[in-house]
Amino acid sequence: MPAGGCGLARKKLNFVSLVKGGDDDNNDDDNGGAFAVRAVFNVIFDDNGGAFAVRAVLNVIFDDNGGGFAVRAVLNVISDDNDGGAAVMSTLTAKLQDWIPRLVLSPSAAIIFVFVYAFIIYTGYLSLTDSRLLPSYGFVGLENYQKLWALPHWHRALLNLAIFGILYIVFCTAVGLLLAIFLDQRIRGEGFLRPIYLYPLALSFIVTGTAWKWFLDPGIGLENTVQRWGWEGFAFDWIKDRKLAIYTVVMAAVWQSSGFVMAIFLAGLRGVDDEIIKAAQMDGASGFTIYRRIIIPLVRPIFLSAFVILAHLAIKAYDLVIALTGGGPGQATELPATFMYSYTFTRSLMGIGASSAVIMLAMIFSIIVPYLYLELRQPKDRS
Amino acid sequence: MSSSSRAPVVAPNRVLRACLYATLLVFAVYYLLPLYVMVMNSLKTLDEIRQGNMLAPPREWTVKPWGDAWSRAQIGVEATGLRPYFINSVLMVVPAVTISTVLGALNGYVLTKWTFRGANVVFALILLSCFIPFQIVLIPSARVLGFLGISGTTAGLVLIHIAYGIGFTTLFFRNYYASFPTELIRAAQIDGAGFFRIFWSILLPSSGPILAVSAIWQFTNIWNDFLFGASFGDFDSIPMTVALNNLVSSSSGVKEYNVHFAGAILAALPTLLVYVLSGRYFVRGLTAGAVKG
Amino acid sequence: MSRFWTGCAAILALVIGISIHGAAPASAQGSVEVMHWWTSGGEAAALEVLKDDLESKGVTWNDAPVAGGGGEQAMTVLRARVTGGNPPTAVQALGFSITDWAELDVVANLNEVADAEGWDDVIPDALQSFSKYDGKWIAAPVNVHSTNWVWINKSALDAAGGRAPTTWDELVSVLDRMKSNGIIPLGHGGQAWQDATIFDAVVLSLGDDFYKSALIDLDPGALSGAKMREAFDRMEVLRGYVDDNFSGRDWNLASALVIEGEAGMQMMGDWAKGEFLKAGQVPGEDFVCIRFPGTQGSVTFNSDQFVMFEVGEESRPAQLLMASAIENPVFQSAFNVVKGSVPARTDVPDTDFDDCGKKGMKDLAEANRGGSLFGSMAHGHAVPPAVQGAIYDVVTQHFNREISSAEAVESLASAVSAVR
Repeated sequence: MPAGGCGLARKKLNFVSLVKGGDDDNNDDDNGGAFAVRAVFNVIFDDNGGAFAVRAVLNVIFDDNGGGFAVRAVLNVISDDNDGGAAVMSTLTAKLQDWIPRLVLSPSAAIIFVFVYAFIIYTGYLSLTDSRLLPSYGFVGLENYQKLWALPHWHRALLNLAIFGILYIVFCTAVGLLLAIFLDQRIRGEGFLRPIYLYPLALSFIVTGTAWKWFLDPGIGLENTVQRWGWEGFAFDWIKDRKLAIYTVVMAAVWQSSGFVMAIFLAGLRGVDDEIIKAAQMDGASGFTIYRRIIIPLVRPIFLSAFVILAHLAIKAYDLVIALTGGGPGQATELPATFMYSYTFTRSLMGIGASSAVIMLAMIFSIIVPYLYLELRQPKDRS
Repeated sequence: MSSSSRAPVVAPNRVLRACLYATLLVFAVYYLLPLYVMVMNSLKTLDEIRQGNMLAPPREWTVKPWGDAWSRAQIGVEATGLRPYFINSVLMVVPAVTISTVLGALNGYVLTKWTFRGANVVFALILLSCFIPFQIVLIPSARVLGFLGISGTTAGLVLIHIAYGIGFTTLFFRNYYASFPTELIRAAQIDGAGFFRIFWSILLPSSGPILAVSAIWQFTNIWNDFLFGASFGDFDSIPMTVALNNLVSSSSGVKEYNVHFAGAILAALPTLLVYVLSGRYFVRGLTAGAVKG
Repeated sequence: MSRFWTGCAAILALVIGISIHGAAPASAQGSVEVMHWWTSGGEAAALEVLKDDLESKGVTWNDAPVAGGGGEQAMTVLRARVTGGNPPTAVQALGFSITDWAELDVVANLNEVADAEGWDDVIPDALQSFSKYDGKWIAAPVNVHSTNWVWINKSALDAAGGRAPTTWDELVSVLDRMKSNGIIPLGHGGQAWQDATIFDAVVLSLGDDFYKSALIDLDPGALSGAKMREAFDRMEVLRGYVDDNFSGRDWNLASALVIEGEAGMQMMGDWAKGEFLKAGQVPGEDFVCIRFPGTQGSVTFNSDQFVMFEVGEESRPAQLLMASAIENPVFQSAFNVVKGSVPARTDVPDTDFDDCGKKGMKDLAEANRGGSLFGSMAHGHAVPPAVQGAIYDVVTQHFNREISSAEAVESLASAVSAVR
């Protein structure tokens, strides 16, 4: 490794000059950039005496004294060519400035690569194996998928997801939009109401599940309470009814998420240009018409965002069902997420569990990927 | 939120406005009801709960269930209450929120101001991680944590929460920084400021709202997590949600609902406080560009 | 882009390399980490007896409770921990899940203690089939629960004729009378495992051989035969005596209904007794315990055991001490008096037990001798979890009237064969 030749004093000096907004290195792009980088590294990582900035930084970050190999690996990546020596340094420092953005991004990218994509591939592979209690690697082809689609239990879960998903998305969007529009009418006490609408998002269903279960239970909940008030014939026993139980799950889910949808709609409404509204009012359009014809079309992208957020929450819904009904009565509220959990972990049929997971992932990605495509192909700099 | 001062678009008709307020209040009741049930019943004695009306306020107020839940309730073999687990949660949440927010901010900065070919693809790939169901990644995560030698430790839990939080924080900061004038960045570059310098003295000072959104989001998600905490926590790193679960879903014995509700509220208190105290910033942050409209 | 990914890979290699470098085994001398789901008052207090005993011998007890779903949650956590190479020292486990772990070769060998203490002679064979694998002791059984019990409110029974039923027909007539007396005849919670607990008893009441061939050997003929049809018909009859509000109710709330006289009886394992005792009720005076009509002399059981995992040499002495402490007759008696179950050893004196406990111990010994001690399907002691889940599906669908008895019989055999 060649010595960088940049002593502590020099680096500090350069940094100080930068802080002062100095431009003494301005003419010399190479040096200026390199020194800035080193200086910032010094400041960030509190390096005091490393001869070689990158090496020192790595040492500090990873507290590893034998990191020679690793450093070289990174350096090889950083510098285009491998032919070491003092000559590299000047190009290296220049390249470093170029590479910092990528370097900064790389830990996240690496973590995501392992924890998301490698795991998805792994799950996909497990779905083709005979895994039961723990992963095992006997290849069985598509057998698990055949078994999965032959299970009435799985069809039930998919049907429930369709019912739950549609109602959940429609009601959350409707309630969220309604509340956002209403809150946008210069409401007194908005600052008081808003956290009330939002707070369910802050609570886990481990916490609120018991309260909901109580509330919905005919013996002690709403039915009982209303009957005590004197309306003897009142009945609300949906949670015990296998045809209606799924709707109680929708009620609790809408309770939890609609406040968040309200918040993003409110954010969108507040972003609409006042001039447009004023112009429409001047033309004599009624409030209702202004919303229907002007504002709602303007915030259309938010509908898409809300749809994507809600759709994936619906497919992931798990805690909710476990806390409220445990999938019952019978299998009346079983959803793919609870199905997957029960087959993988309770019934020790990890292969079938993995194949249901793959189908869930496929459903999620078939919603998200087109959305991302639409979003990202637009010019990204809209300022 | 400056635009909130504009004239109401629905005409200020008295009847209409009364309906409007009525609707908003009805929904407020709907949202508050479960919390009300929890609070009221946590202040009753067990006898009163058994024979009583769920919605009625206590006839005989008691705070004993709160004390029990906090320091006396049976969580495992020892009757420690939730107190020791509170610390575990804090030790896990603080670094996980900090690191994932810092990484998200830097990623957002790179993905908007230092784009390279394929940056959008990288962003899309990071973003997709928000949508993965956690049950799927349980076993492979366990294997990776074991491989890294940090299974059963707070460090392991922090790593997992960072991994599945980066997607959200990156999304927040990217969308926020996208509307930040790029000319300012270019000008600073011409003045010789480097990557971190620009971030530190130009972007960060104006990132307040989105830092709030990111921190609130991460805090609530990580604090409320149960699955990872139960699976990757050891006897000395079990977070509060897992302890709460041990309290409320014990397999047999008298269910002390008042203690359960008190414990549930105690476990939820930090997130509730965060929302009530900084919910304003949350909506403001969303307005400022966390969600594109 | 490719350089970008190379960069990622390099960083990842670094992170992983360094973390391994920094990892240090941190298990203290003389400590056991115990995973269990006994977190409620009585059970936890009973377990504390074991903890105190071990601590008096210098062993530190690190508690890792994971409650929920009768151990389901704990088993998921255990999987994550074994996969991560960080298993607890001892884990509460039931039936086939013990065997499953043994097959993966991750459990410890307890023969050293078991041979010295003669476990082979005092623990029933039916239990040994779970606590031993391949000739090695791998788990220390704590208790034996029997699941074919009926708990009857004494005054409700008196009002319905006063005689405890011994046959199916007598049971139906008692239930009918309770119904006309205006109470819920059968207190029950609609959760799959509770439905299956009744199903176990109903199948057993149709004969020991039928139980064995249908629910242990999984004989397709028995699963789809006329007797199975009768079993489902009986389930349907019993469903008629359950209130409409039963779905999702916890078992202990069903017990409370019986205690308070709102319901006449509950069909549940002997852990239910704890609820009656805690409410200050006395066996024989306030409540009556009988075997499910038609099953006297036979016992379906489940047994909580502490399965010991391979955790390295330094923890081994503590692990063996714990195994020995569990099988200590004094602990067996003290724990099971509280828990409602009976000792896993047959040589523990019954002096401290109440009448129902004494009857339980006597029935167990008799069934053990007579070859009519069977693992409970509902509680994971008859068939592997996958098959158990498949049977649950059919039983619970039928009990919730989603399918008829004929359809249930039809789908039972195919559901079972689909997951074998």
